[in-house]
Amino acid sequence: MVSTFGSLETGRRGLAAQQGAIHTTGNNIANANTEGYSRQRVNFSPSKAFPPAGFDQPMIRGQFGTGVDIKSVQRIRDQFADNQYRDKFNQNDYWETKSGTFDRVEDVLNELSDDSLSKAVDGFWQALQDLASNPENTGVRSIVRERGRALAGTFNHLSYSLDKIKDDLNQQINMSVHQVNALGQRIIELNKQIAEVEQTGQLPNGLYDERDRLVDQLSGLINIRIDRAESGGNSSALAEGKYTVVLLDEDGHEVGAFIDGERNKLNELSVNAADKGGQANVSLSLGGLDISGKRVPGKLQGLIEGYEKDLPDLTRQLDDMAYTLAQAFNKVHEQGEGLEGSKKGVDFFSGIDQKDGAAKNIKISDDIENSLNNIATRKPEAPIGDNSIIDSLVKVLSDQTLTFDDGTKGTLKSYIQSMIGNLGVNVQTAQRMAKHTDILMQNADQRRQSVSGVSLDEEMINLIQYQQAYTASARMINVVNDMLDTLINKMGV
Amino acid sequence: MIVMRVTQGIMSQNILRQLGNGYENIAKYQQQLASGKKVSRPSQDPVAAVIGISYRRDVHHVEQFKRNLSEARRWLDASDSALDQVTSVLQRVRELTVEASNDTYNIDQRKAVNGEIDQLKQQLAAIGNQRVAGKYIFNGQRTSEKPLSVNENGEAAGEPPTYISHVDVTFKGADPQTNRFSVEISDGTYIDINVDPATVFTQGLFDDLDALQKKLLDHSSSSEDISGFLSKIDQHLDEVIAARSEVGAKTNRVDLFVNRLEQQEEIAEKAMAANEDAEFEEVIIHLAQQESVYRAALSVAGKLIQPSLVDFIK
Repeated sequence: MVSTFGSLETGRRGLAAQQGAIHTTGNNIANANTEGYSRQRVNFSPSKAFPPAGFDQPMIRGQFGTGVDIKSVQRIRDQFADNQYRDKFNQNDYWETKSGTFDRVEDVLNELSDDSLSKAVDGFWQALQDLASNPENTGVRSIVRERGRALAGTFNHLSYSLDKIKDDLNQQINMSVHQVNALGQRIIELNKQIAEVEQTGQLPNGLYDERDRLVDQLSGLINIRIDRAESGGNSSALAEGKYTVVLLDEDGHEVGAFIDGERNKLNELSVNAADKGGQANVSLSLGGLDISGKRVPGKLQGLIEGYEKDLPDLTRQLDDMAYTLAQAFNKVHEQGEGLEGSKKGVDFFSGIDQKDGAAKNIKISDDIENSLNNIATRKPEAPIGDNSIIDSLVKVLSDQTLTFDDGTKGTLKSYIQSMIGNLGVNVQTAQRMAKHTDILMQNADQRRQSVSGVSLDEEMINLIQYQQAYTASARMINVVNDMLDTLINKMGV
Repeated sequence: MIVMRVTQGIMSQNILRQLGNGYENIAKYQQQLASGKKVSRPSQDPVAAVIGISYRRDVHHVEQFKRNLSEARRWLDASDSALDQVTSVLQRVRELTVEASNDTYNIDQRKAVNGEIDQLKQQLAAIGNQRVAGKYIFNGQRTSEKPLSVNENGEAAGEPPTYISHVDVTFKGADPQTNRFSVEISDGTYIDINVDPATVFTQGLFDDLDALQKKLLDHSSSSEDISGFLSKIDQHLDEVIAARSEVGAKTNRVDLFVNRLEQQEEIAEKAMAANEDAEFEEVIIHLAQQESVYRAALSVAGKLIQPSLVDFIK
């Protein structure tokens, strides 16, 4: 038989365990809206039965249970769901970044707006047409100069705006790398704290949640895989250990360890983004090891691509246009002559000695700035009303044989069109992918939340369940108390 | 099919996202209404954006060509009225010649005729030196130079040279290379908008008039000597009329192009509108639809977010 007061102890354990469960339920409810919180569950297990096995065990028939113990308080979390979410978040952050960059580019190069490049070209063309019918008119000449300025100015503005975006990207690249390292630093600290707790056999659920939240953030910036290193000591089987964070390239191959969980050491990411000889270049290294050639998807990659490729490509196209147009225009202009006493062989545009940076540097030549008379309209020595040169200048703007860098031949307008068409498709693709991956990410997040999220209904049912069990345990103590009363006070001595 | 454990968190997240999407759609249609444009960024429809650039170009070109045409029309109209005046002047010269060739005219009367011809010559020079917007229209590309110069105290004329004054008009050489002034009136099509000066105000015309005047002042001139000029004057009249009919033909051509451009403009603008502009009925209907969807989502959200088991346990 168990001892007289043994059942009281069983009741006490029942009370304590249910109270612990109610406390955990309360904690879940309180954190129902805490981001990254995983609901917690109290794992009960029956306490050791009496009598325990042994040579000196009391000779009792049957082993009696002694109540309940709280074995552990565990967070409910699915690592697979975590991995999926991080994978999708990684893709989404990449596309969001691309789409964000392209959005800004589209703002700059919006050919549907009123201050577009094609509008400036049309304006210039119109002024030249007016000059063709009024070659001797100084007023019309000044309009031609003004519209020419506007065209050059539009090139300058677009090139400048793209450069500005590129500079911003450079800053963002540095900031993102800084963020990656800061997150890594905090993960390392958490690894350390978690290991200390785990070695005592406890489960630091709050720290786990905190660390996973940081890893979530990290996974948007760079593509990672999480491996686990045991903390050792008296770790529970449920312990999650220290995180090792491995950088993966787009095919899922390891690039290198960002955090080595075993030794709890951080290999810092460092970056250097700069324009070298007009060529934007980003070099990335991990713990001193150059990994520039590897493509690690994520926000950082999106920024790097924008800086190294997307924006320089557009700037190059603008340069190409400004250079090709201005060269062709000057070539015709040089052959002509302006009003009486004008200089001969004058360029209309200047600042276009080299293709690189032509869009940024193009301007009206000093000769034209100094005197409107120098705008060439006629063949040298021809009468003032000869408009053959200005007619040829008009034709340059719709010349279908301008040859551009990429080998295409066509008018300036057709080149703008193909540039805008490409940009539009790129923006659209990025936006679509961002939306698409956002839905996938939301789905993954919901799957994760469906495992870890707090359901108030569920908690309420648990609460009732635990409360009832608590009440029943109390009742049990009452009954034992009554029994003892009977035994002590009511039995005749 | 995975049975999901749906929590309040998931629910409110879903609702929030759906409301956000609904609101985004409303904003989209509202923007279309406000701007009147279906496409305001290339990414919304890259094809429409690219085509739009062409349409805009077309509209700009049509605008400009219309301007060029009105310039052409101005020149042609001015030329036409000038030639009309030239015709009357020459007709008057012809009348005077017919009168003077009458044997009853004595030398004094012929002198009077000579004086009137001097006046008419000056008038011809004035017509020939006419300007449109500051440009001489009868001097080909030399638009800033007078084609005709007038010397009011020319060589004494007459036989013997007893005549007091004489008006000399000189036509400054015609150079076929520079006699055409043309403008572009549609992509790649040019039209000469001036009258070739060599066909009207020729030195020949003024030489003939000078010769006529000489005969008028010559006592020995017979009436046949003077009437002999009639055929020359008729020849010059024919030249003017020919030039005038050419102007008329060009004016017709310009009018034709104006009509064509107006059609083109309409087509280009229509095409641009169809390409970019929002259709209001459609947008308003979409907006109304989205609004009702949004309202429904809101009311469902209101019902769903509120209750949990908490509300039912006392």
